[in-house]
Amino acid sequence: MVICGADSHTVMAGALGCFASGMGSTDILALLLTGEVLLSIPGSIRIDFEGAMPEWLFGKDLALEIIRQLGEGGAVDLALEYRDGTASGLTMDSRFAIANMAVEAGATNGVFVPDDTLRGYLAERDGAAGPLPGFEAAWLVPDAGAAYVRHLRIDTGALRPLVALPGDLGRIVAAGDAEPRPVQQVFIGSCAGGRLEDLAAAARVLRGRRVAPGVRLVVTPASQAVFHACLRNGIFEVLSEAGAMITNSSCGACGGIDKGLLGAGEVCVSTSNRNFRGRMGSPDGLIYLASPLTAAAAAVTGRICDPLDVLDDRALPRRGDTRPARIAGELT
Amino acid sequence: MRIQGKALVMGDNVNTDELHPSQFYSLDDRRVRSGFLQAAAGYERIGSGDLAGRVIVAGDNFGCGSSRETGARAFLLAGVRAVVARSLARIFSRNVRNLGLAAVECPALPAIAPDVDVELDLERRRLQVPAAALDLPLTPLDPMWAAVLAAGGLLPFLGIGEPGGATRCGASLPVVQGTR
Repeated sequence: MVICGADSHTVMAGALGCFASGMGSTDILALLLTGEVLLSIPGSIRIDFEGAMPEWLFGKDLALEIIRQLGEGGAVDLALEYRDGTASGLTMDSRFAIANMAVEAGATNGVFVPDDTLRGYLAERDGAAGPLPGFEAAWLVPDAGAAYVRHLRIDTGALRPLVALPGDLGRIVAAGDAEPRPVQQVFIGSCAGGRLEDLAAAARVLRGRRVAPGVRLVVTPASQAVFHACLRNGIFEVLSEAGAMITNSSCGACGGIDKGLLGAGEVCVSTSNRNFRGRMGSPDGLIYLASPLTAAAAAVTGRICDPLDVLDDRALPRRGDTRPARIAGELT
Repeated sequence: MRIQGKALVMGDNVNTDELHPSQFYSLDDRRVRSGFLQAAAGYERIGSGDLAGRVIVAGDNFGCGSSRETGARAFLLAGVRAVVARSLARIFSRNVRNLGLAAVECPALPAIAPDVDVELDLERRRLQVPAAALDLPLTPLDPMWAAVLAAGGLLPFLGIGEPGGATRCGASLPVVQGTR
């Protein structure tokens, strides 16, 4: 299946086993008019995730690790092919976060090799209606003996939470190695970092805590479905009690549009996908990219930090666990 | 097609938010034009100045980031004549070519001095910088992109708009049935 969208983060649909690529509005207009689009066939970079996947590691950390290794333009005109060989398996939310940032390495698209995790996700989404006939036949699967431009093996068990330092994606470091700079805003949201797994992780960190003085925490769910799930299962209640501002689900602060723009000199930790100058408001605002766990830890402490250094064990969220955050005693 | 102009030199990984920040995302051409280079550090005043006839000469991965076409439109509205870079980000290169602005790659491009005269010859696929005695090859364009540029953009290439038409907001598009 081929998906083209007038948004650079269309690549996110690669988590569904599709070729999904972003382009501009004239391209899409022409595609709508003619049904055709010119694409050059990209070479492929194979990326294998291997080893244990710690509960405190998120798709965002893996997305940043890929860009740290490839470089900001390291995959221009190339496809990224992800294979989940981790012991526990990556959640779909983490896979979406990873595929979302394929474009940040310059890639044409990024695709997860379809497997039972995807099959299970789609079965749940399809419900009683069931899948479209022949849908699986349209999945992208690598040929036997496929050739690759490059092959990365990422041992997820060896990683620590990462942050991208402000300005571009050329400086990605362990969160604990970043200068512990005070922050004025934490943004947990967007297509890249506002999924249920992300908001649940933030709620587990913030339950029983308060957002640090001088910090505003803006939470923007990725979709109406995420918004409603958070209403139902108590995640919003926990976040709100901690002092978060919760917005409707839409593009917003992460694209410099509204609902939490940065002022000059402000520092923001964001779970979104771009830390470019001027991306979230003032060109003199500074944007760090990080996982929801690292972002929530920054909201609590008021500074850039490694969440594993500042959160005690009881608060460490279980990745992919989106059970109600208010179950009594769950975290104690 | 030969394109001459004075170089406006930029660096590596210059992204779309620097080139054209989102607060200038607008249907008003004057607003779009006024945002050109307004988050590129050190280029704000240049971006507001007279850029007619300039050729952007940049490093690697120029235009990385957003698919917002207003960013590409700002280049045309500012009067930029062409873009040549060591390498171009994929979506950005599509956007500017679709609007009829030549965007080409020159992998051997070294750092050049600001404001020198440059000349692009798209048929012979050469970049010349007389002041630096450079005569470098350009990466060949796919024939369709060459035809799109020759037509003045993707819509005129498809026979459904005037050259440069897509740069004018509100320009009405004909209703097309059965283009193919």
